[in-house]
Amino acid sequence: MRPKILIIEDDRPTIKLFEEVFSMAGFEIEVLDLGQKAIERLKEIREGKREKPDLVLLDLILPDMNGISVLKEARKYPETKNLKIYALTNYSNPEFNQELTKEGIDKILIKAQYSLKELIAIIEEGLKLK
Amino acid sequence: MAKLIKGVIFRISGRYQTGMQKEYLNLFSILISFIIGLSVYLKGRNRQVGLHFLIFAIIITLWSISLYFYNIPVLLSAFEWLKITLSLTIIGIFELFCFIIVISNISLKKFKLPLIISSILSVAIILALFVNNLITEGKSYLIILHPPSVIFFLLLFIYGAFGAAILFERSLKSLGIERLQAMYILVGFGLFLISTTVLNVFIPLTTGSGGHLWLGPIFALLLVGFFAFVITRYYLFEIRVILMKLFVGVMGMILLILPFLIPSFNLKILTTIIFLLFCILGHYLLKGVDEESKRREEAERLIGEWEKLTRAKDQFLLSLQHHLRTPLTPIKGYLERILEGTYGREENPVIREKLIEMKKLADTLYSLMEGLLDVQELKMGKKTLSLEDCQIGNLIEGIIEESRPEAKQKGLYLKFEGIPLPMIKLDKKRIREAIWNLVDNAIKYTNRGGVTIITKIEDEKLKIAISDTGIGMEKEEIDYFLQGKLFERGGEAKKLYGPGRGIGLSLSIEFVKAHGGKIWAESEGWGKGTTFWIELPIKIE
Repeated sequence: MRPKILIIEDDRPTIKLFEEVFSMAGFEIEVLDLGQKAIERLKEIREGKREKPDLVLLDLILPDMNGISVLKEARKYPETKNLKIYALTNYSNPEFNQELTKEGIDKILIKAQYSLKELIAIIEEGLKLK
Repeated sequence: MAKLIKGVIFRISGRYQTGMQKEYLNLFSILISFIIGLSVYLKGRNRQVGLHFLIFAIIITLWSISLYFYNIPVLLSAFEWLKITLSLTIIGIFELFCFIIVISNISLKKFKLPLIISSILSVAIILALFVNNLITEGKSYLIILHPPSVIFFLLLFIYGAFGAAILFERSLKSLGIERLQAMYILVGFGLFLISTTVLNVFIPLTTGSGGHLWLGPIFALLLVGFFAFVITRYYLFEIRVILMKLFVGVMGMILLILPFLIPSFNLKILTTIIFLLFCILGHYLLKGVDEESKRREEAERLIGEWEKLTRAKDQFLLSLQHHLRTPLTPIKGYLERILEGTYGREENPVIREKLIEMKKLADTLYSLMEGLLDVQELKMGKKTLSLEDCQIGNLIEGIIEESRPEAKQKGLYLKFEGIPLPMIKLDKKRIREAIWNLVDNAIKYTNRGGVTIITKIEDEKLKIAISDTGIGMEKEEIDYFLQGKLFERGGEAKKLYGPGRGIGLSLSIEFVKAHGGKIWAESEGWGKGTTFWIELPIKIE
């Protein structure tokens, strides 16, 4: 079975690239482009209406809210508490990173810092860990 | 009588009628003077100023006590108490002079000996000449002044004038708080001299009575309070303005009432003139203080504005970083995939070469942004250096190897004349970036000859020189550089190349600064090459 990745990202060109790259790498992906949509999805997962993804890639700057709110929402409930969530962003700020770590982020990745190959390798490595 | 009036007869002081309120006032001011002196010393930020102020306050306190006992003699006779009062007066004036010297940041050392000699001389004159020539006349004492006592007044005049001159100069030349401080002390000093003269010379001479003398300690208390305020609270300007106005007002009132108390017609006129002069002086004084206050408010407003702008700038830079990186992700990603052949192999070698070039440029753009962000965060204190043992020679050789292709392309030599160096604790990545930028600039700004890197150790500091035979720097340009104005480049650079050494240099400067080192440039002028020096403190742990 193909691993499921939920991408929360709003930048169109980036979404297009990720869709292409991750599909070809063998992942099943879904993209949500608003923080609100991500919150609703978390609710559906709690209620058992939706399946849990194997990994969430979370952009920190979203049009309607910042990614930390989504992370907090996920960590609040037992059903989604253990979701594997990676921050995948271009916004690196030590204060932000500190807060993310405090809220229990699994990894912080700076998009432009890695080549696509490296990014996929990191994700595959992460998916192996349970 | 005729025999006595050889010198000038001088009524120094007389005992005043005791009254309960006046006595309480006197005791009250004695206590308060001492408490103010002590609290300034304990709470003040400048120990030396505080100490001299405390000594002054103690002398004033003792002086008030002796004046009190002169009026109601206990243990000693009124005559003995008067000797003490007079001696303390003169010592108090000299201590006030010390206080002025110390608060003006002048070394007291060279004044010590003259002050001690003057004090001893003055007290001796008081005891030997003044007091021995005292005669009683009712409740007053009369002094006959002999020619040698001129020395006494001369000394008083010299120290008074010298102190006032120092304060006056400082109030003209200093800026900001220091200037205000000097101004206030000058005013206080002036008021002190005026009130002393009026109380001890003017009124006794004209009225022949000492009935007003209970005012002395009150005036002294006001003076101590005023100075304490200037020392401790000089940053609270508004309160000082209010106090200043109050003080000018009180002095004005006293000068206004004075003519009515004086019987002599001529002196009535004289005091009225003094009052009018005081009004004019007071007007300008208050006007100046008000203007200063407005300027200060304006300066504070500007500082607030500047802080707000700085915060906004920091926030802007951080969000700019996000927005600039966002399109870079797909650009780098697609280039990577094209070059990998994901969309089919590109057979045309020229197109392939250009794509590789584009990928390299996108990476450069990315690392430049990273560098700027890094500097920004180092400056804001959000990041710190990660120090590790580093062999600087190897680091430089690595940089040379990396830069060699570019130098070769321009036909330039690239030399490293290093000496064996110890392991040094450095942030490798950032120091590498700092040196690399300087080498890259040197190559960029040199068309003939080449670049030489030299390392040496001097005064426990590591020095790295990057010398080129390039366009050189004008003196003006070096000055700009030393002043941190990096983005104003010399004329010749504009002709040769587009965007200049500004950004790369600013990264180098900040990284070296973060290590506690410095960068400077040397050049003989146009066309004569440039040498950039990096100096780093050696930390061996």
